[in-house]
Amino acid sequence: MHPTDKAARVAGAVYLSMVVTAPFSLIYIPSTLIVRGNATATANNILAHETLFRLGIVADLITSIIFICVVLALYRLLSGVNKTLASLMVALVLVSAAVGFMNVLNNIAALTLFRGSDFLGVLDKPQRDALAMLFIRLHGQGNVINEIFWGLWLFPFGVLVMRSGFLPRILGVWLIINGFAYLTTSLTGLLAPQYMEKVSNIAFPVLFGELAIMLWLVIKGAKVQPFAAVAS
Amino acid sequence: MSSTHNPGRVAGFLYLLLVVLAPVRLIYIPSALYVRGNATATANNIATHELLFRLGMVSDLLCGTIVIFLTLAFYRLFKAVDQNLAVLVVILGGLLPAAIDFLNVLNDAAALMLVRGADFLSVFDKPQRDALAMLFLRLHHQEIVAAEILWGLWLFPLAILAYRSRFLPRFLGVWLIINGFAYLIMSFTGLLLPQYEDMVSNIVFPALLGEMAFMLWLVIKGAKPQPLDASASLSAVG
Repeated sequence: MHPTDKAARVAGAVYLSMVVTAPFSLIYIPSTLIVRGNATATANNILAHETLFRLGIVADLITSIIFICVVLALYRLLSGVNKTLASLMVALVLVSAAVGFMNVLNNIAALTLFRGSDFLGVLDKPQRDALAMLFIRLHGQGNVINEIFWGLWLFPFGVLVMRSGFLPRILGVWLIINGFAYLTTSLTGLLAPQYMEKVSNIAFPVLFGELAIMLWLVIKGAKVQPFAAVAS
Repeated sequence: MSSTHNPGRVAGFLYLLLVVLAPVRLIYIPSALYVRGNATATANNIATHELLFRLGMVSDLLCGTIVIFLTLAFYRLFKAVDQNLAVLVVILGGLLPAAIDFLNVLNDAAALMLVRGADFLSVFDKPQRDALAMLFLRLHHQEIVAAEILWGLWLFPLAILAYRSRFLPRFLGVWLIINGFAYLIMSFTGLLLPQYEDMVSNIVFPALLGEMAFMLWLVIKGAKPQPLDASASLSAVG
């Protein structure tokens, strides 16, 4: 196997593992445990399924770690195309991973408040639940903010794929559109949250650009033209 | 493209963008919306000017993004002078401040949620919600005080690079070092002796113009790494 082809498949496999962890904490946990606008019901759910909620916290952390591994694997694959763009891609992901790690604290604060340890006894339960709900919301806001980086890093990534010569250009274009979708969703959430759901629904199909490149990398790898590529 | 001809000017324009945007959340929002020690008045101001407050959050995020691109532009400008120092500029001035900037927006988000008083928050009466909102606004400020350490530290490698570069005037490098110390002094005052915070920031203010001078120099005069002799002598030493 050509080294570039191998690097492509490794990057794709690592990338693909995010498909398991990311939706678990981003979609599954909120949809099963969080009752929008109802702090008491949310508290009951989370206390009844505390381990599940904790698994969500772990999945969040693991996703950030995988994200770093993905971008380093992609750097290995694509730094030969343009080192500046590849470094930019790594820089954006590193910052995003830091934001992701710190954002987990919001869920931990929520859990601490829901459990209501002794020292929190000075607040009555409805107040504790409301504060916990505030932190659950903040965790959501943290993801909205981090979407800026989830979008931004796809621009250098997309350009590198387009220029690589060993990956289909269309996937690079799709990644760039995918990046714009994240930026749009994020800015909508920040400036006009009332349209958030509408915009996410419109942007949703575009977000499959990342899935497409993952699958391409794993299944097809990199088609390196033996001579032209080496010469350039 | 002109960027390849003059990497200094690229950095200069990114710096200019930062200098224009940073004061929105740092100075304008507090002065327009905050009422010192009065949580209710502050909360009411934020509620009536919600979009302005949200724009402040977005400007924080933009600044966090710009510093990444700015420090990478500096890396490109200075890597031939000393690559290790140039990497340090990216880490101390770009990546870490960006992460902190982004996280700090969450404090604003929390304050805004409390000010808007979503249904589930009705178990707190309005003065309690306003007080909690004020707490998060204070935390936002405290995180800036903490970040000032990085705002100061990254200027040291940047100053040394400018000083050694031979394509930028040395007094700018010296001024940047003083500027770096000024941020450190401001940060430690805020952390250790907060009662003197305002006084100290007034005193050190002229030092903070070092970044402004550096930025204007880059925008107006630009900077080009000397192609041959400089890099040749460096690689001979290295």
